Amino acid sequence: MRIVELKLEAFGPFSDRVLALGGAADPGLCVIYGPNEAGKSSALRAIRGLLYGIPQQSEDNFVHRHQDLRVAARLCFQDGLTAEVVRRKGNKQTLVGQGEAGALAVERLQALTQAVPETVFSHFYGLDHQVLVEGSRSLLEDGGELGRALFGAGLGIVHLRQLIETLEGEAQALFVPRGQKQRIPAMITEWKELQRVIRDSALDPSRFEEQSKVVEGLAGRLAWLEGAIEATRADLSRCRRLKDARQALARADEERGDAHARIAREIERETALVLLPSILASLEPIESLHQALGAYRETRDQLPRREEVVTMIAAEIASLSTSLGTGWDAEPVLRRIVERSRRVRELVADAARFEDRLGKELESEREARAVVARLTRENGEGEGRKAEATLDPEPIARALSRAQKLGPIDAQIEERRGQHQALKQECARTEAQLSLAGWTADRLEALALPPVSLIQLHAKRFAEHAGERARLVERRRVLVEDRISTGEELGRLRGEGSLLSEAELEAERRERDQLWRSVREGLLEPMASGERASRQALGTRYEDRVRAADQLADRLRSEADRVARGAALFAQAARLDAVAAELEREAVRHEEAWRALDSDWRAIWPEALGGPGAPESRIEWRERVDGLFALYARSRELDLAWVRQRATRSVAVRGIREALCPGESAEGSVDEGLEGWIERAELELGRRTAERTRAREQAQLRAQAEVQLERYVHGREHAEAQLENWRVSWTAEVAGLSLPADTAPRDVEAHLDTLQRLLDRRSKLVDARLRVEKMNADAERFEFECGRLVASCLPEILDFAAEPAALRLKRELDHARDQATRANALQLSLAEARDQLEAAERRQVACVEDLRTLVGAASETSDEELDLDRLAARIGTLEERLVQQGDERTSIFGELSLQRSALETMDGNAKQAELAEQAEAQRAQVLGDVRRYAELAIARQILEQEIDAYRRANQGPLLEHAGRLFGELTRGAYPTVLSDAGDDGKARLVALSASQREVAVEALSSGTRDQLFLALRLATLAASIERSEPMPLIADDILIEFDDERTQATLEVLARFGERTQILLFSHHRHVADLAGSLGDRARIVSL
Amino acid sequence: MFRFLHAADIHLDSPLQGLERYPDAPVEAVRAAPRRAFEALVDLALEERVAFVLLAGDLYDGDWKDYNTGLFFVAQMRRLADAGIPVQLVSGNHDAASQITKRLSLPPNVAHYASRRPETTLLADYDVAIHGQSFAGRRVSEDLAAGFPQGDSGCFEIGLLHTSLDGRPGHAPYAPCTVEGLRSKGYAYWALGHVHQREIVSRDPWIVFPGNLQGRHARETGGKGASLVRVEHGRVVDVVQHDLDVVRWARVEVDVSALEHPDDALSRVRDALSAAVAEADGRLVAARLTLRGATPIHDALVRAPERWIHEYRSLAIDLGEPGVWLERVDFATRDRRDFDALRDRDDALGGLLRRIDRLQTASLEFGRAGEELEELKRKLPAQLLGGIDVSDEDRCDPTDPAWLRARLPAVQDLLWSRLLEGEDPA
Repeated sequence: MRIVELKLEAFGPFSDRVLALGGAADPGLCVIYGPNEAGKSSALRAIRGLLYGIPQQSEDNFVHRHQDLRVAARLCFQDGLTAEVVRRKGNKQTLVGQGEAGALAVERLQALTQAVPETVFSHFYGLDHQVLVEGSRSLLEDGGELGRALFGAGLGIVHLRQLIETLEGEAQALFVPRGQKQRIPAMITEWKELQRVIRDSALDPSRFEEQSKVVEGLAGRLAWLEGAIEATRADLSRCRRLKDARQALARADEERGDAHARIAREIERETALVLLPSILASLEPIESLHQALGAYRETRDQLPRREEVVTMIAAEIASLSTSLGTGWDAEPVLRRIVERSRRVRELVADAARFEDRLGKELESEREARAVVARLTRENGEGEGRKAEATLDPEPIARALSRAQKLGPIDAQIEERRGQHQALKQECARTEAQLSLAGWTADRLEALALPPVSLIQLHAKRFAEHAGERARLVERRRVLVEDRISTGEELGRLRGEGSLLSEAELEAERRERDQLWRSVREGLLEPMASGERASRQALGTRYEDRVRAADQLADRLRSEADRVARGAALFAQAARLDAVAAELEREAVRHEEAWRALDSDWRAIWPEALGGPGAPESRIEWRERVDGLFALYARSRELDLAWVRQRATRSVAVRGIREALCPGESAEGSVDEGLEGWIERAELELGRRTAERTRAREQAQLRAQAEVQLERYVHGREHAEAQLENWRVSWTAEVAGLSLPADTAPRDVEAHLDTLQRLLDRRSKLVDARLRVEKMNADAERFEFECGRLVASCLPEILDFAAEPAALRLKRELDHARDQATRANALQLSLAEARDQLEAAERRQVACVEDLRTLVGAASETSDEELDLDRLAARIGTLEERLVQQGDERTSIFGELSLQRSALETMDGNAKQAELAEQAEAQRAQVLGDVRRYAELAIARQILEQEIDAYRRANQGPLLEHAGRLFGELTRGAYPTVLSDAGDDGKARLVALSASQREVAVEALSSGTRDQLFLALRLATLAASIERSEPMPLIADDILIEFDDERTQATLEVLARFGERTQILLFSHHRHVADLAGSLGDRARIVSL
Repeated sequence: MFRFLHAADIHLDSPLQGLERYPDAPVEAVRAAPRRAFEALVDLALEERVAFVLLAGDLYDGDWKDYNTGLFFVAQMRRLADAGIPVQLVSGNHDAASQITKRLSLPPNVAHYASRRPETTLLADYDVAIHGQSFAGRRVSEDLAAGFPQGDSGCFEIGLLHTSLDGRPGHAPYAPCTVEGLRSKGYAYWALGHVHQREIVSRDPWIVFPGNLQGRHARETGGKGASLVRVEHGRVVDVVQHDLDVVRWARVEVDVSALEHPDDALSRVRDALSAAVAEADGRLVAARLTLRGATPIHDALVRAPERWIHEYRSLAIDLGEPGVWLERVDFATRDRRDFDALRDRDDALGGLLRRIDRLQTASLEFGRAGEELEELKRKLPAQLLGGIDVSDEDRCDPTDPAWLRARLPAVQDLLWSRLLEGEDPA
């Protein structure tokens, strides 16, 4: 089947684009050329879509909508059926044909694609550069293993070895004979272990029964022990109660005796006491008297001194009255004057304060006036500097700021100048090194120099030519050696004797047969006279020829090997001569190509530079020229920047000069430095700024002093007014005191003090007299009370003074009170002793009763048993038994808990069932792995068996055809391929070189190996074509790494192949299309 | 009027088969499923206040030795005893071999029928006579029913027996008998066990297999449980089947023939699994998923089966509670390609396909692979391969030609996808 026309009605970038790919009679090789982005990939997908349908998610919908995608084609089948079909995007019946023929074509195409599914088509009828490279690499990695190489080529796949290794690897991850770590054996081990655990930990019925019995036995023992402990406890309790009762009875007897003795003692002590009831009856008056005794003593001691004070105050009053004279005795007068004294004293104090303040104000005013005068004077001296102070610093500051923003511009200008000089020197050096001394930058840059890439391209082509020339020389050398070797071999054969040939025998036989025909004709015709001799001679000649032919035949038979070797050597010599002639022609062609290349090379260089020299040397030269151009550009940039900076600096200098010296000429040199001017400007700016600051401060101080002076004048005036007001008040007050108006304030104060003192003494005298009278009354009252109590309580001391009598009464009262207290205590103690006696007697009765009860409860109790020592021993024994029984109970209880816990674990739990579930899950996994392992192992085995079977069945014809194709593709360098047994006994591919050397696949260059893989694929495809209707072979850029010669050879092979089936060769390389053009009408070229 | 409950084939503590674990598989939901189903049976008896419970054999698994299983059974029987519900129990073929059966002390409410001859229990409160006989050994080939007494007591008579009746597929022919033979006894109800598929064999008299209580593998699909029988005036009024299983086995088939991309199958699978979950009425579903159909996505599925199985498992997990456990995923799809035409090709591909095809009938010569499979078989414990009631579908024997031939379609898919469809991403 061929695609005569491909109509890209709506697909990818195409709209109604028709590609004429050939006709039934046209050449089958069609080179479809299109540069990048021309739509080559879309066209490839369009062909795939035409044959197998447009995918649901097509990437070729960027111009046309998904549902609008359409590809049509005119198809031609082997039997001549030609029709047009259309493939549209959709799910059903996407392929339709035009008319009856179209419908038939659709049917044929569907049958074809059914027999060759899309995946098979991709591999078998698709070939691209990637496949070529991978196929070549696969051949290398496989060491040319013949079976895999042929089978892989037969399927159109390149990863056969990898696939087999993957199958093997996946299978071995699951299982390896004698392996333990793979998944299956590991899982089996786990499963077995789980089974063992299930088996070992299963609860056996007998174990459950035994455990139940153990628990029951322990529970019974525990119950018995509980009863025994209870009995021991009861016995122990009784003994303890007996013991307690016995001890309590003894204690009660003892306490009764103690109580009797105590009662007797207390009665005796009570009898010894003497009580004083009359004194105790006056207890409170005596206590009060005793408390007043202190005050009485004090009064009696202080009375004389108080009377003396009264006398002294009276004398002082008399003295003061005398000093004041008359008129001052009246109490009201005195009090009125004293009341006014406060106001007078305030005025005295005001006088001092006002005078002090006036003094201070006067002093401040004087000082302020001095300051104002000084500042006024200093200000007058500063008038001379006023003119300078008014010089404005702002212009300088602005100019300076602008200049400072330029930074270290002097240094930068100098640095740029240095860089520029250095660049110019480097340019000069580079120009000299590149032999361009004398050339200017402008001239050089104006030259049309070829780019480096172009030079590299020429260098590569020169190198390829040189390599080709070397190969030609090598081939010629090998050829000459082979030719000499062949000639020598022939010489040796000839030296052994003349070399016969089948041709000589044939010629001899032809001669013999000719003579025989003459002899036979003579025999059939009557002999004429005179013919006898000639007939005899003819017969003799015939016999000689028969003999000679027989001898020749004999020699040929006897020297068959030598003859064959000779013939082979002659043939080889002839072939070598032919090859030599071809080599000569090739050398001539190569020389012509060399000259054309050299001419092209020279043509790209400007004549002004002279001869271009070798391309290799010119690559670096050209790269360095580019570097030189970059230096020129850099130099120009630096120069421009330098000029700009100098201009900027000049403007800054001019600004500063105008600010410093306004009105003067600001013109200066362009190269004048800026830093000197900046320093001058900074100095001037500092000076002007300081002057202005000082003047401002002076004015502020003077204004402040004047304000201060004004405040002081006002204060002085205020103080003077206050003093005047005081004087008026003072005059009025003094007059009120009946003193002369001019009385000094100090005298007025002294007079007032005297009046006050007189008033105070009079008051004190009254108080002193009242106090003496009261003290006398208190003493009399005490003495009367004391006398009264003595008369009633202790008449025997009536003659005692009040103080000792009071003291004696108090002593007697204390004694009487002590005796009464002792009597009360004895009464209480006696009552307590009697209570103690009664209690002891009650306990005695109770103990006797308890004992009687206990003894009565245990009638068998003997008196001996009631003995305290025996009871203690019995209690000890019982306590010991109780401890033992308790220990045993604890032990049994612990054991019972353990055994019950063990029994409780046998609770019908599902642990075993869960383990069984786990084991079942593992079993399921193992069985799944076994299935997978079997599938992998069988797949690998079947594949290997089929690879071997395919090799055995197809090795002969496929190798023969592939060998021929390989020879053509390599231009005779490798005329054929053979099968050779490798070290492992497996058949391997080897290439036979032109010199009959066998070359292993590993020894072939990668390019040659690519050709070998291509030859195998084409041979397989050719075999297929013989058997069924072929589909077009789609080759996508397979020549991308082939040089022109290989490309040409491959195109020729494909062109011949195209005579049998359609080859669609896609390429985006122009030269491929050009080379295909040289095939003339054997190839069609279509541009996208 | 009274009701009684009829169950059989409990197989306590028998693990569910084939549930290979995977991350996030609902392990807890599956745990001790037969026990929980049995608890549900007791719950139902208590709830329905039944007169008595009939257990028609195969309470345990024969080779199961853990006495805890018996103790669990006793505990459940005590629950019924506390409610005054008697239990009538005959041993089946599995019980006959069980050590538990021989040693377990049953509560007084459980009547365990002897194996030497048929025994009869009279439940006077309900005017019921129950005739039953246990299996004496694992295999009983005689017709035990024939020895049962003739029904002539005038009360409601029940025959309790573990039997395959006249034969049921997949079940050993133990204690064989016929419907006519049972009918001839004149009983009102035959409570049978042994056949795991529930079946009402006859309604006059009632001959009933209630099926097993909990499906144990992918072949025991659908609802499993017990039969609740209502009797009025000495006649069976109705027999209602109650599903008591905890895990519902289901075969979920999804037709993917119309799909263009394997991702499209995900929603189909989700829908199918959701439907199975809905049908299971709140139970966990143990599903065997089968994808079928001649489909363009066949190559994509078989090229990376592990990947898609993982996807489907994730999808099952995402369905949430009660959940789905994917027991297995079978890719029973096929491509639309014409393999017959491809086999006719006279090239490497045709040769390979013909070789695989020939193996279906020719003797299997696998060389090294065959030796490795023999070795693998030797490594596999027989117990691991055996399992219970293994069907051809689930059987595994790496040396058996039939089993190996059953692998050939998968092998063909594997080779096709690896050779022609590119690398296997799995």
